[in-house]
Amino acid sequence: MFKKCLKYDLAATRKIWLIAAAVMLLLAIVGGIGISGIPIASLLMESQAASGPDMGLFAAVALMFVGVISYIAIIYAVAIFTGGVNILLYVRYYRHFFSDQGYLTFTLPVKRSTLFWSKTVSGLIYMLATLTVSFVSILCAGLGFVTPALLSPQIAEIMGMSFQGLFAGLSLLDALYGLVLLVLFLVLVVVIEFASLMLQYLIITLAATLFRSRKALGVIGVYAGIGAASMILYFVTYFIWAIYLVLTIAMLGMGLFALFAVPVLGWLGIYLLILVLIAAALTAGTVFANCTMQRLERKLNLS
Amino acid sequence: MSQPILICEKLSKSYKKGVVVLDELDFCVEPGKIVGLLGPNGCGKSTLLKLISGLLTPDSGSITVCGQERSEQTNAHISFLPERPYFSSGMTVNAMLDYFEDFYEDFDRSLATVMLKDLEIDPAARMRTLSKGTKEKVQLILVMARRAKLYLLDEPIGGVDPAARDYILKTIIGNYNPEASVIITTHLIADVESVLDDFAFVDKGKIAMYGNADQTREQHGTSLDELFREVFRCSRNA
Repeated sequence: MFKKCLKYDLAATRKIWLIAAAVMLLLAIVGGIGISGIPIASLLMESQAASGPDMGLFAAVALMFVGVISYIAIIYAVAIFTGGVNILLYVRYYRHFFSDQGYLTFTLPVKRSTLFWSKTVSGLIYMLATLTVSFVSILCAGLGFVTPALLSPQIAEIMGMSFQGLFAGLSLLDALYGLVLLVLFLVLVVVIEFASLMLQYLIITLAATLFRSRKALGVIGVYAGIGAASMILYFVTYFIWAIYLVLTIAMLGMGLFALFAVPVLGWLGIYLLILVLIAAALTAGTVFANCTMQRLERKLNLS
Repeated sequence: MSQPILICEKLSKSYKKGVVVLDELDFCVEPGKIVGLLGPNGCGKSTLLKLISGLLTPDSGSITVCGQERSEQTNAHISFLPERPYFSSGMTVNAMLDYFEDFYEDFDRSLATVMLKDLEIDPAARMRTLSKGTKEKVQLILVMARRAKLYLLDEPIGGVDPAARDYILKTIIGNYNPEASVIITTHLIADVESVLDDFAFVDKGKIAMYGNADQTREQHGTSLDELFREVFRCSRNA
């Protein structure tokens, strides 16, 4: 049954997501071409400075303008794309569980936990796919900026870019450390997305089951409440962390931090930090998921 | 004697502010029966159907469906038609048929296709393009095209035109499995009473009267519709 639920959950968002992702990538490619105007404009401006202004200056300014606008457009597009997909996932979750569609969803011969995990896995797949598309889009923008410099040493010199010896001195061990770091970082991204999705599902579930009417207002209210509580928690955590740091430095001096300067221990320290973050996000996500499932088992509040 | 399809024992449900909707209600349905669950607004008819289908959890009491305690597994035996349309507006009728076929092993797609054709509903149409009445018809077709053991129909003819009502009632009689039972809630008693085997009048969260429809009509010399008016007029005046 899980596979069937997942199939329909993925299908419910697939079409609109594919269109949005295609538009995003297209915009990123066009934007990337636009951004390549910035280094080219720099070259034109440099030559204008040497030979005196003529019509080329106008072209340089126009190219610079297009480049900057393209850069801003990509940043906004990525924000709208990721935010839009998240909102779409939350709306789908609300509709399938707490609107009239709940009459169909919860009369299927499927356990509520199966329905919930199907929504979680499908949501996570879309969130990660969205992150990947956003990353590729930003990469397009970056390539747009770097490519002219790669092709023209003159532009590279004007832009102060040097690609020679970029990987010089990189040992096999460094590459291995880097690879492990990349894997850990990717796991961290997945786990943070999971925790974030679970928090949103919990907020929607609480609001939809606590309020009989004005459920949307309820979602905002619960969101504000949990948001405020999180902020207080963050503040307290940072405060304790700051006191700890001050006391550590006062008692041990900077010696403790020197550990991070030692090559192997430095990498291990970073790994340890990421592992702690993974464990924290995973724990938070699991707690949110359990709270949501308990609430779903107890009450649906369908109108 | 065959095992009852549905047994509700001492079923109670109340909402916040102490509003008791069902008060230790006992209800039993034998196989092969079409039972009318009749009562005034707010008497607990829809709440009872929601409890049986698992949308609500009872405060106390038990529900047994086909010999099993109510759970997600018993949903496989129950075909529930709620009062409101539950479709996603972007789905087509065909997509809904696929959905039912995937989730319910007892769904008879060919029967659903015939019924759609009879009611001149385009299977390629999107739900958002259909009128409220047509959506209700599609929903009823999906529910009745299952070979379920227990059909729960909450106001099945409330939103459709009189011509479609006849077809729907014929569908209810003609398409359900003789080993199955149907529970219908409605205010349009005159329209449905001809198809009912048994009836139950629900009042103040309890079964106020239960009996065989034909015997009761004969005994009281009146239709169920008139009897309903009489019983509930008395209960309101009391």
